[in-house]
Amino acid sequence: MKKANERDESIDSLLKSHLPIRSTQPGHGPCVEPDVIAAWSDGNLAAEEAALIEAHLASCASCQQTLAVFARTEPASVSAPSLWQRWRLQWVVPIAAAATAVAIYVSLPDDRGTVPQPEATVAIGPQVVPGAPAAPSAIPEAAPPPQQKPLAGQDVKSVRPPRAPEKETRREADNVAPVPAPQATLSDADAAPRPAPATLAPEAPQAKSRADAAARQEAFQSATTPTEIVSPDPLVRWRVLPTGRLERSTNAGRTWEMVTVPEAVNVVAIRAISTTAAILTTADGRQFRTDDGGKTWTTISNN
Amino acid sequence: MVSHAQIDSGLVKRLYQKANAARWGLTLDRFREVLESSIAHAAPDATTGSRAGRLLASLHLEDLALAAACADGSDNAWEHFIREHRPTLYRAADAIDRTGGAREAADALYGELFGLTERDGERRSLFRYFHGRSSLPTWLRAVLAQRYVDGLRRARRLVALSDDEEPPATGNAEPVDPDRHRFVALMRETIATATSRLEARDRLRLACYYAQGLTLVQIGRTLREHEATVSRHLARTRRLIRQDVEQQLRQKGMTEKEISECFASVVEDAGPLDVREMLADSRKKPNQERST
Repeated sequence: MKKANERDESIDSLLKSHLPIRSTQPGHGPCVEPDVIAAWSDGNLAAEEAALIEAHLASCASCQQTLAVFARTEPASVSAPSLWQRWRLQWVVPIAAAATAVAIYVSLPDDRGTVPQPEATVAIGPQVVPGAPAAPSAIPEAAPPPQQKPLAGQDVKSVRPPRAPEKETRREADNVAPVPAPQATLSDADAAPRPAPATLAPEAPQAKSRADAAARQEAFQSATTPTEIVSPDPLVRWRVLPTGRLERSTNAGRTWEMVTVPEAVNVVAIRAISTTAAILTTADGRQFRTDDGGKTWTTISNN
Repeated sequence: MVSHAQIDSGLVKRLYQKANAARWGLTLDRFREVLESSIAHAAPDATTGSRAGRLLASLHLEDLALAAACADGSDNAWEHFIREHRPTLYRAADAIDRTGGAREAADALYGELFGLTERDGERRSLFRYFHGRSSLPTWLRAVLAQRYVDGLRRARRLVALSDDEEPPATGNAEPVDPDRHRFVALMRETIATATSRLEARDRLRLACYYAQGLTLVQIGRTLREHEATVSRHLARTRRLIRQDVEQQLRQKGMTEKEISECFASVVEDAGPLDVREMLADSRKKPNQERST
């Protein structure tokens, strides 16, 4: 195999250096007129005629020179995109966005659905903020920080936290009727810019498409944007970086301090009970509590 | 029924409408003349209506009507051509030669399209030779390419005499290993035989790539293949040549070791380039400069 490849390269080398692909026999028939070259290039000749033209071009160095110049007359930017390029332009971007959303969904810990309901509700439930609209309890929706309060009647999608799992998003779509908000004491605050509010009313296809794209974009951002958990005191916040690092801020998120977690755990939710007390939930369902702003932690729930 | 001499009136009317020929003020009779001219040029021996009918169906009718109107001097048609197609001509010229060397050919071609020359008191436009078998932009590019090559050949002929007086290149003056000389000669002979046995399209692909130096993209556009397909075919063709050469060398009684030495010899030094011999082929062609 290696010898064959080496010999193929020898052939390539010889062809390149010697240009021996020249006429070994006279061209078939008269030389090709430019209008015939054009018709042949456009694929507008009958198969038999095209074969004759190719036979002549293959053996006539003169016509090959004309053909070569003709081939160079088409600027590169004018070239028609290949089938793959056309397909890619139209479909790959949305498909890639959808695939990213699915990957995010798949990569999230599987046991988040098995987390006891109180934790789940607490972790993703809305914060009771005066004036904030109620949001479905099972949806990872939360009121934004005070400065980002949604307007009355604003759709819940517009206040979705950045780490909202795709599964929850689908649940939201299925459950459009708002349910009374549970008693909750924390919220996820989205630090990233939010898309314009979407409406749940019937939408035009284009608007729906835009909403879908926004949802995909939001899902993508959720994978890279840390989640902020606001305590009852808006100045005190917690967040979990994508790397799993836990941080706490006492100045409304302007600066952050790393918090040492009790052991190597995968934090999936944190609940800020007060300015100093918080409960974190790990991927394997365990819970730890701190009453001193994260300096020490005690186990309150094992698997 | 359709023939190159007479086309059914209903068909002419349909094609006339399809070509939007009324836009340029072409009459139905004038359009019929144009269609008949196209058939006569493309298929002078078309004796059956079906063949002429297929030809008519394949014509680029809108471009054909535009070209006819330009040839007739229609201001509207010329305005449209200048706006839509003239840039194609100059873009093509710039693509051939980025330094502007092909602009002269493009200018001359544009003049011929307008019909600067008169014959028997009648302005003769090059548009009369457009028969709608390709799109107008493709035809413009093809004609420009031919004119450009013709110009190069004319220039080459002017210096041919002094070139001929030069002694032929002798390559390296060092003593040549007689075996290597024999191996190289054998390789060139067997490769020539192998290439002559290839399919025409494969040979054309090789010629475009190795002899004309076209890129895979350029070859692909010309042959209507994707560049990856061109690359794959080139690799396959090289493999075919290699296998054919190996077979020929075995038939000549060479051992595997000698065959390997043959292949190695052409990589190390295959001798002086044979450009003169290659060009001789084109000089032999009697009708190099074809009038459109």
